[in-house]
Amino acid sequence: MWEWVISFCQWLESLSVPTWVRNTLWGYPYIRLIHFSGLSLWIGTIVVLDLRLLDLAGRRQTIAKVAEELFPWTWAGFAIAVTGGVLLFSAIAATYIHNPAFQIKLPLLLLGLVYHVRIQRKVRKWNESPSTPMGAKLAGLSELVLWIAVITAGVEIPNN
Amino acid sequence: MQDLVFSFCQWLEQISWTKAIEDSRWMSPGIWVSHFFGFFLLVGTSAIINLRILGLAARSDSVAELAERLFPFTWVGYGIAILTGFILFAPDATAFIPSVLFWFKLLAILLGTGSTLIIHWNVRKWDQTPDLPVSAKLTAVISLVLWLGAILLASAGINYGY
Repeated sequence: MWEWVISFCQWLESLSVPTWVRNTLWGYPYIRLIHFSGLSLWIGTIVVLDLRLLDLAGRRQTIAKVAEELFPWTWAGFAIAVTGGVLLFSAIAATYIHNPAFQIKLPLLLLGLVYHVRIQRKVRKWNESPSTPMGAKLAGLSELVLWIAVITAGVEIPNN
Repeated sequence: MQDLVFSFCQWLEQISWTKAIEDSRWMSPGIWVSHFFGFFLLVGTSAIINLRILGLAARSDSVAELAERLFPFTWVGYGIAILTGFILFAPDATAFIPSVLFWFKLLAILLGTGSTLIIHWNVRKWDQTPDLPVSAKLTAVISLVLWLGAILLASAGINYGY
């Protein structure tokens, strides 16, 4: 199973775009720019929504209105972030796959993704209460903690 | 002039609390995470406002209202990014001096700050007409380019050790 994963990573590295990223001076910086730009939208809008769920900011709007307004930005950001992430990974995939920080980041990221989809689905129900339900506040806090954990794992990748 | 800068950076390197943070195995990642968190918030929310000014987005509310709601997040993110940036810079200040990439990044941040302030101060005035003035759109493009440029320069800096 693991050998299959390594082979797949080596195949990824051999593709033309990842090879270009590895072999040019500005390849990595531009791909990182794509990844961080996407994350600025993804994380930025998630933080705005979570602070609203915690009743700490943006209370002039309902939860549903905040979520609805940010929705297209959040997912555009996610698409861009994943594009950058896949390109970053592909360039030195066979090395990254052994990195313990990356091995933690990937499952945390998937968990965070599922969690965000659940929050977006629950927003409508939470909006029906006159005051923000405890469930919404807990979800907001949990999601912030989860994505801070993902960023932490990301930051630790170069240190391993 | 260069001596002044060098002396100032040497003085910065003596600051004990920033040095302690850099040496700490758990505080140092915390500062990095906060730096990313801060500029994600800054760049993300300001990008939404800028793209909205450029008309590249759904128009449910007026730009001025959107800006009024989002700018607090922009500036909180900015504050966190600047503070943590300083903490990351200070302990190795003299090492950054010869780096052209770093100076350009500072320039991008300075001009980006200016352009974001201009937008913040003028968005209500700009929103008086149904079509926003050309000056508004120009400022929005410049602001976007500057903040993304800062990220690009920082990314190159990470790769090539500034």
